[in-house]
Amino acid sequence: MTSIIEYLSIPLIQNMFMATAAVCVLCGIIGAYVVVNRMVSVTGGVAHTVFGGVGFAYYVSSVFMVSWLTPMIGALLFAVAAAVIMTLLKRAKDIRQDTAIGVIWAVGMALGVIFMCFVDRTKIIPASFESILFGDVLYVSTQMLIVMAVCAAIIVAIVAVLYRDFLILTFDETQAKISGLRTGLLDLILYLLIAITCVMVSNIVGIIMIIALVTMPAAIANLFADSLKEMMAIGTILSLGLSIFGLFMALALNTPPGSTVVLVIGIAFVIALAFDRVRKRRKSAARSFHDNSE
Amino acid sequence: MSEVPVSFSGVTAGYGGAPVLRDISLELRDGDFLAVIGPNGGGKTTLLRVALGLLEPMEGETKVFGESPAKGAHRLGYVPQHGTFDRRYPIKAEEAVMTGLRDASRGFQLRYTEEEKESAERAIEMAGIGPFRGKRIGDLSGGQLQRVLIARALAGSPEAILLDEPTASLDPEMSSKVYEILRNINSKGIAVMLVTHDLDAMSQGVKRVACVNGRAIIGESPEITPEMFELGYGIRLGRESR
Repeated sequence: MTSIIEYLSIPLIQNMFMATAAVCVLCGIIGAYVVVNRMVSVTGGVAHTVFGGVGFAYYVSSVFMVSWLTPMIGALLFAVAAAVIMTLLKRAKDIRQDTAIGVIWAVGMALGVIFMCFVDRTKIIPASFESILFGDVLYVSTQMLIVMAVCAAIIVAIVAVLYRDFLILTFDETQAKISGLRTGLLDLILYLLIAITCVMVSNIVGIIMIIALVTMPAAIANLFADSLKEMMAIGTILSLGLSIFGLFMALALNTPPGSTVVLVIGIAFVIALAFDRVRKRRKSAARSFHDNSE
Repeated sequence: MSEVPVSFSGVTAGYGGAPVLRDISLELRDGDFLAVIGPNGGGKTTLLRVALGLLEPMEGETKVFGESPAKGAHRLGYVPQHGTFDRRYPIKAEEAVMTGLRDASRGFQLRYTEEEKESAERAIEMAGIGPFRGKRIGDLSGGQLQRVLIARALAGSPEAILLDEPTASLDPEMSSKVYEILRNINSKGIAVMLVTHDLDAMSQGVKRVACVNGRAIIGESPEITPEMFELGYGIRLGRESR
């Protein structure tokens, strides 16, 4: 116990917890849209292009000495580009959306590997493939933490302003069109918010497990929430609670933090699903008993 | 002079270059209760999509209150089939009704006004969904959800309402409740265009009937004529069987 308290006094560990908190708020809010609008594979596609962006940033900054192009900025550029392409392809009639997602997913990863091959390692030592793909939350710098907090605040503000329109769009797109809403623009904004969220989450759990953190807490919340707002609130609380519990577990067991967090949320998801099944069965039994006794 | 809610003039429309409707000329008049019948794939839903501006016709012109559907559709209420909804969406019945209040032509709105909330309350009352307004849509029966969708269409105080098979997969009791609501709506001067398979609808307050199967035959009464039976269902009726 003493050792955990000692750990918590280390600035990098404090950054880890604060970065996780910022990301969990995003996962609770944006994850709700991802789940209700069935955009899990879209999120997967965008998430994997992040690897291309990280490789691109390492390559350009090592070969052309572009110091401002950090891996996070590279990741943002690629994720945003993927979001724009996916929004445009959603409306294209000659290509299926899941095909487009698959192409973007694979090409994003392949580009990352190629760029990483050509990084000039005499000038820059890039992060390992393992830490990019599976996360290294222990290396969240204070500067990175500030960027994450600002991004989280901007995304929360945008969602607060567009909440009603996003609700109509995700509940019934036809109704959104009839109401005169600019569904194409709203779609684009939603995809961009997902893209930025993916980049932020990749700092915590790595690229491979972005989907888990964005989707699972929101999916658990969906089982119990009566409204989208409630789903966002429950998703955020679950995401925060389970992630922090996962981080403590990682510290105690000396396991990789990102993977431990995802595993903890995964177990919680299975338990929640089982609990929901039992609850629904009991409800339906009570209803049929009531009907029979009438 | 009152405006015609919806008018189609020589409209040809379809998908992927293949017309489903050919040269349709039809009006939904002020205060009308028009039933549109016909077989599956005959173009009934396509007709609604054109009126709502969701589908651009290949030929002809559609007007909604004298304007293009893009400009006039916000004055219409639309009720889709309840079966097309994701029942797991976390939304209560009353919140679903409130989504019908949004009208982008009024500009950006962060919150609902008191007037809008009152309008939603009237819609909830008219559709009779008060007893289950606080329930999540996943906990509603098909008939209850259909009434929620009718309330949503009414929430924005439309001048005409377009419905796509509102009684599909409902039991007779629930269907008659839906028709009662539609008669009530129509009695308040709101024009109703009802796309349906249910021929019983003709005795439920319908004023005119149109049969659509690629082309359209429009009647001036709720009577389904032998020509309509032949166009819609391929059934030839003799004069004596009328």
